[in-house]
Amino acid sequence: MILAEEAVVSVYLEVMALLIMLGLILLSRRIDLRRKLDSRVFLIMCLCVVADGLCSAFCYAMHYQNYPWGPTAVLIVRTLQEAAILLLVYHWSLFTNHKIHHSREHIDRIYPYLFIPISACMLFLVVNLFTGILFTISADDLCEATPLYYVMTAVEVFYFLQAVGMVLYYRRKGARLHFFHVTPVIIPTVIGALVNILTPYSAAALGCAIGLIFLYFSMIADWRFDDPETEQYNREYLLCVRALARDGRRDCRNILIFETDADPAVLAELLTHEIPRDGDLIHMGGGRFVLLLDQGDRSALELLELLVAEAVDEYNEAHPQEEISLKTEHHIRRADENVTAFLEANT
Amino acid sequence: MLPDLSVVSHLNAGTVIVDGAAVLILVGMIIHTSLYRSRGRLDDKLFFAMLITDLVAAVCDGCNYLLENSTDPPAARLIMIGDTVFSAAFVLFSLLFALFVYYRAHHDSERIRKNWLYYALPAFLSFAMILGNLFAGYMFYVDENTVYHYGDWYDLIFVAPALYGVLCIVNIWRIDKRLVFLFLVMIAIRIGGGIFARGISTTPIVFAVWLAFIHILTMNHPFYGEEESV
Repeated sequence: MILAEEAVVSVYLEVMALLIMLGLILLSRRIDLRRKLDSRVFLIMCLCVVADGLCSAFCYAMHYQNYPWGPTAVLIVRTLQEAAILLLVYHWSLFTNHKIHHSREHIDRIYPYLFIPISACMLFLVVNLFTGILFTISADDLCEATPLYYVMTAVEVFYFLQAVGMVLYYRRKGARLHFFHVTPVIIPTVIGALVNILTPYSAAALGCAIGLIFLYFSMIADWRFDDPETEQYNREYLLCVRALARDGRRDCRNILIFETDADPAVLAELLTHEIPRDGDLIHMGGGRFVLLLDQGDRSALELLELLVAEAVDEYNEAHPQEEISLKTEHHIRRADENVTAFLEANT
Repeated sequence: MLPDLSVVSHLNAGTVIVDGAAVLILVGMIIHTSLYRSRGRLDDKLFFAMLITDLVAAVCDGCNYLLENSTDPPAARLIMIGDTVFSAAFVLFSLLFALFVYYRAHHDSERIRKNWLYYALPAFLSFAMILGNLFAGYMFYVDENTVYHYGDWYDLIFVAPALYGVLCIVNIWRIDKRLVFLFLVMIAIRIGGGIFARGISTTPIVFAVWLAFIHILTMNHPFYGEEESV
């Protein structure tokens, strides 16, 4: 089998994508298992990129080979490739939803609706095997797309952009997405797609694979600073904030400390309803929480303390058997005080 | 001087894409690891040095392949300089990697500081040969049509990296056995690429992917030594 030079390049790019995915799958086995849904969805995305890479490599390797079975084989493999891409964007959407809402129930509620357009596209792919309504394969084993194929591509692009847009929207609303960066995922993926469109080479799988590397970096950072007991940041996050402050990359004007003898998960839930969205709530261990705020004056802090106290009172009235105690204190950084010193002295 | 894209062959274009991918991975990692770098430990410094070395190698490599077959007179000289820098970066990366895995396996920075000159001896010899090649062209040269050619002693470039590679395997095994498997897969892909897709340069991306794997493995560690850093 002699490959044309552009096919050699494409196959080689797919091999690099597969190498990246092999490493990610192999090394990600040690990841934190507390967020099983995240890990599973990520693994499915990895497998989709592997399927995409393998199918694409096969299709490029078959170009101009003129085997009698070639067009049929390419048609089937190309169908599998398109299905893998559809599943990839669908799981990307699920992944971002879970990152934003941190809720299995939310995913259970929305995933059937999200799957409707994908399943319609899958159905078209099956129909295409017999009718060629999406794409056909020429005698030279090249894929020839119909206008309907671009509608399916638009669906894939919509899923991708919708997920990105949601992350940006909820981040602006103050959702806890400090370590979930979508830009490093978007840039290589879009570049890979553009190379695919503008050149005769296939770089989409490589772009996705690089995007998944950066997504994995974000996931690890997120897990490292997550406290599974309260769903808030853990003590390591505070160490990270201190390191950032030392580098001049983080500010902190106010610190509020909450302490309870009761279940910290209950207090964490009460606090999350009262504290501002831009505040970082850190579970230091036991019943101790630290809230870092970049804004607000003394009166705002006192009002916040009052709101939390009221919430605790309401809870105690509703649950007389499980009353929780609360002790609060606040610290305000002086204008001339160093951020690092302020954090180290008061947390 | 802008490269003439009409004379860029498919394989050269492939190399430029692959090098571009390496640059993407490396720049992303440089940004991503900035917080950890502030710890200032020896392995952090070595890791950063590897990122920068590979970035220089990828940029030089990409530019060389873009300029090949160009009709501009300075192109041949630029390719020679670029390839000299690339070859030196290739050797330097191997040395840095050997020191890095030694530190990760033994955590003995004192011994490295004391003995690094001995470790670096094969690399220094390679640097001298690569520099000498600029004037004699025994490893590689560029002809009057701006086409790159391998010289009779081209394989000398690989001697020091191969030596460091062999020395590394024991230390990589001590860090994580899965890394040995990935290390061998990458060497196989690098060699396989050299045989089946000889026109495509694979070194910078293989190094970049390898660095990404090491970073993932390091970050997967439950504490990653934060308590020492803050």
